[in-house]
Amino acid sequence: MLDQILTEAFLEAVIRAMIPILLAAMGGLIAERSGVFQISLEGSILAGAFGAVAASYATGSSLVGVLAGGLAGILISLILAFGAVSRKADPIVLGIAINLFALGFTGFLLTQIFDIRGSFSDPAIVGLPDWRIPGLSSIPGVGSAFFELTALGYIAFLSVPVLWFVLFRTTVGLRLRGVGEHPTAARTLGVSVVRYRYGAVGFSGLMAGLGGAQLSLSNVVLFTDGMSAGRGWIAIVGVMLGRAHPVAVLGVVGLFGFSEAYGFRLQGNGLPSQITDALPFAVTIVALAVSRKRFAKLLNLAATPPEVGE
Amino acid sequence: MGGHRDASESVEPVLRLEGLTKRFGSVTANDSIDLTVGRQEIHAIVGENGAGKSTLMSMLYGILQPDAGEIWVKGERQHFKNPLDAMDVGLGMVFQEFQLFDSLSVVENVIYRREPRRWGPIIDIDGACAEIDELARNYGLSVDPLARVEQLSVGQRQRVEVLKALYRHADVLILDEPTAVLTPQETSDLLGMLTRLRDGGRTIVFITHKLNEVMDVADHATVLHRGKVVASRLVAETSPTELSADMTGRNIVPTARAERRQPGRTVLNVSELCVGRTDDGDGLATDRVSLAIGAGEILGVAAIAGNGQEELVRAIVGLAPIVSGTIGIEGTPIHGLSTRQRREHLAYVPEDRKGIGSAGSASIQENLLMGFQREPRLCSRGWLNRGEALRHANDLIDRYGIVTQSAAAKASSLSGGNLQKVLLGRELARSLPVLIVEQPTRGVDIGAIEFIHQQLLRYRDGGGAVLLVSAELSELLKLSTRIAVMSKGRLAAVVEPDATSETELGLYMSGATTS
Amino acid sequence: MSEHTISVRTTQLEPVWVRIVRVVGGRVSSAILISLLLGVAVVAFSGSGPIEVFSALLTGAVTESGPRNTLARAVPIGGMALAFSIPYRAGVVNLGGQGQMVLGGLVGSIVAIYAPGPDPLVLVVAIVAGAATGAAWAALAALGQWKLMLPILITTLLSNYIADAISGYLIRYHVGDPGASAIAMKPIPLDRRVPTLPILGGVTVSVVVLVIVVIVISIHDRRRVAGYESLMTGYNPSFAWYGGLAVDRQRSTLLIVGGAIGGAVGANLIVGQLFVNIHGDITGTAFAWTGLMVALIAPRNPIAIAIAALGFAGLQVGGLAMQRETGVPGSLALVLQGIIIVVFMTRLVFVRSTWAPRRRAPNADTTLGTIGGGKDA
Repeated sequence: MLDQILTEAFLEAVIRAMIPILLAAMGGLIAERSGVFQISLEGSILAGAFGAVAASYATGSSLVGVLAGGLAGILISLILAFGAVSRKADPIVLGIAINLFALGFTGFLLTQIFDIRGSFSDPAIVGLPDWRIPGLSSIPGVGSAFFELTALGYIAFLSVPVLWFVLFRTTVGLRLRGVGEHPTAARTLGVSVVRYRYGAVGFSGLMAGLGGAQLSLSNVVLFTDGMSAGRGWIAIVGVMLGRAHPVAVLGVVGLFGFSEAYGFRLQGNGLPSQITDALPFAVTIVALAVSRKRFAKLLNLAATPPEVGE
Repeated sequence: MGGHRDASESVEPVLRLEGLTKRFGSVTANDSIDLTVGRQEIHAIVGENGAGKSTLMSMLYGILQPDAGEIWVKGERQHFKNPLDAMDVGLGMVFQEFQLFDSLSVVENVIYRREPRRWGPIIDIDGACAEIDELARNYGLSVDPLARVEQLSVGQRQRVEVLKALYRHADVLILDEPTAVLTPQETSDLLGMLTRLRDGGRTIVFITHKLNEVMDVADHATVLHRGKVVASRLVAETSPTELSADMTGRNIVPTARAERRQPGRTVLNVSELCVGRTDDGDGLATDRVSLAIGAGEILGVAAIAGNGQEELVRAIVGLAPIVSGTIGIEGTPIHGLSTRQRREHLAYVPEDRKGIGSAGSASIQENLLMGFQREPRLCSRGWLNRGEALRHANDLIDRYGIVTQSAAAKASSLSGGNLQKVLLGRELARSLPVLIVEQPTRGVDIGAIEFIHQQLLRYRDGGGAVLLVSAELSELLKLSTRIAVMSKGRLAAVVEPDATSETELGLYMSGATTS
Repeated sequence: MSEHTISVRTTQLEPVWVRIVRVVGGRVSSAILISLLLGVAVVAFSGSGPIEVFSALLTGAVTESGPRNTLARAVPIGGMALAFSIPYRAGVVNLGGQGQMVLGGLVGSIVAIYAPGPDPLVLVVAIVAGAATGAAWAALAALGQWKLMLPILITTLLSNYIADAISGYLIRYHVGDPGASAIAMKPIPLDRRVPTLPILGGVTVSVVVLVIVVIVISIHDRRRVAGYESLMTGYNPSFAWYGGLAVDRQRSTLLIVGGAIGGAVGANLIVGQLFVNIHGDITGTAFAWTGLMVALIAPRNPIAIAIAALGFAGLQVGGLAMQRETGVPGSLALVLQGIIIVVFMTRLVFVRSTWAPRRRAPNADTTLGTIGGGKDA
């Protein structure tokens, strides 16, 4: 089986599977750093996928499609920002409602605008072109996987070092981390917690929306109801497992991408798709279990004091 | 320590308060406070708990706005809307509860929102470190700029707070009870640093109720009592006795110590108890502590915060696992029991009344019911007798004078004193042989303090055994049959209140002497 | 000390109906009003006549087969709302309702199709088996939380996808109907379906069962000691622990009860409504999620949950009728649902807070702490 994994085509599949999740996760980690539990990524991805397809169909421009996808993601996330930051609603339940709203709303618009149920594909939708970087893309083994991506693919991977730099080397990043860590102290020192949180949540919506655009304009060129298919949730787990550190989150997303691609490969080998589809989710749970020690502390599960002597 | 200066030499006061007043409902926390702090002096604000020191500092730093009165800084009238305004005119505050970002480094904490930049938004971290190093060297505040705050000791964190203020060019430093959380060594370091800062041109305002610190370093002391300034004295011209008299209120007879009686048979027995630290640190938080409390006895525990008394209580009630030793109630070992089983033998009024001792969103009735819900009087075959539950609640509300609209009101609507009465009433009503109580009167209004004291004494007189942990030495001296002093996790001394003084307790607490 | 001894004698706790009237009259109605306005905007934006659309929606829910369909739909929605709200009251967020339903439906239909024995008994056993399956699935999440410290929020959520995979695989390869065009099982035999009641225009017995369950839970909450104890855990787990409750065991139990209800609802959906278990159908109804949203309106009040479930069911049924009448897609109902909840959650309502008490955020440990967070003011 190893010979099937160590191929350029497989690496390509891993990278392709990673890009939408990575975009959403990079957005999610910024929201997390600001102290908002961003659970509406799934909705933003879905809205982004729809917005991208709709705008690309209407204008014939994949660039406009991508921009519309990002915008749709932002709009969805702003509901969360308003509720969780301004109105102090519980982000978890609000996020779930937002995800359902996005699911219903995209389905509604799909039928209302395109008069189609379930899935929309049309030759008029312009997909994202792959940009081949001359020279690099012909490196044997890895060239086509890493240097023949859509613009969003490059953005996804470049965002890792860029966000690392912003977080740990700039004033904005420092202030953002402070806001998430101890909002009262940040406020006392004159940083607007609300503004930073809106910005961070909006950014996470943008990135998730771009992830959606990648999903609907690159991996395939079509929109399907509920096509985000849990990627937003996986991105959230990626943020948690990677403790909102860009490099660690990249690693976790890589694991997910690997399991998704591997699932497809197993399917090719005759394993039922019903089983292989569950692989990334099973891998996620196992990854959680393996890293549970650090994780427990992170989640502050000790809120209930331990029972002694029982 | 540095020589005392005569404040009257100062030409123009750095800080002047005139008639500053703050009310909370019917309570006047600060009543027309006048205060003048001269340049380059260490000005101590002393008073007992609840004297209004913290309210005053909050107004001075823009956290609370005065109802009346004026604040003048360096000759200009100020209207602080928030702490930023106060920082802008050179005030820096070190809170008792540090306002630090634990996962960030020292340098990041210090420069936060005032970052030196290389270009654009990129932080010049090397430049910042150099500047902090220099500040630290000048004032003897050694701390590694790149260490993360969560790795630092309490004393080091306090230094970071001071550095933060100095970095922001504060020339008036306000410290709220800075020594309450420090070990004796850290305390003397801090006091030395304050003197150096003063000699370097800064003005220091520090709040304390420890008179020896005032005598050691302050130039000037202003005494608050029940929200009013009762005295303002040059330290060089006063004595601890005089200040102490000011603090307790000149015309008020010092609270009489409660009558004591001979304790009966041992009820709570703690033997050679060792408890690990909760903060992942090495060593033991509580090291071979043995205590025995008899029926009708209040054993007071005196210790500086973080010297093992919290862990002692946690281990007894079952919140912290023990390393070794035994705990027994009336001869039955309880250290192997679950919290639930232990609670059938002991009542507990925790320090954290909102986080542990009550559920703010539940009604007062529901809060009072906890622990009784399975008693035969209130429960038959799993069914709750609701009429009886309401009677139970109203009965306690009456007996403890809990001020509320109704038993159905949320517990979060209660004032600190009334919430404490809910906890105390509920715990005492269970008539268990042992009561563990932490900081019974912290954050409680003056009127309720006396009531709470009486309830503790009544429980004692009924044959109960009380373990009383308090940071108020006067409270311990008043209520305790014996006082156990803890220092660095060990029992430093056990003394009789009549045969000791606050000064002697302080010495034991600091670990300077053991008996 | 006279000011400290003043206490006002108290009367009974606020009666249930007063609270319902207050919540429904205040927050719910204004939330619905605002949602309608937003809904009108959505409809107008998409180019249909709002009045026409909304009157079609309303009449669809209350005329002809509308009421019966509404009642039928209120069963799974209300059931899943309970499956969420029971653990939620003790601070446990069960996002695994869908998976519990899917597996309950799978096992329920296996029993209903293949088990020998008298038909009525097999029907009951099928639903009980569904409940047991849902309970076991939820128990895994409880084990994960307290043995491996895996957060229930995440494990229950991810396990939905795994449950779907298990069900799909088994139906496709082991218990399915090879003759069916889709991945499906055989239809449930006619005599083993949930019987209908002649009254109320032929709704199933399940409606009655659900009403009984709601009443039982309601009484349990207010009258039983265990109900009091779980509410206290929900308000403040540390307080419950301090009061001597076995918090972890209690939470596990409630999660498992929630899972059992979810499993029973799934089984009931197949043997009482869909009559054939087609892979993806249970997931497609989104009843688990609709139920969850319903539960959020009044997580501690089963009667309000039942009323809200009825309202949402009506909305969905009306949406389908509207689609037939006007051609406006029925997913408008889903949009409206989402809007109602978001409006409700963000308290985007113009009611004074004394009138409508603020919704309390669940306790710290139900929400996942953010990195180094938890110190918010």
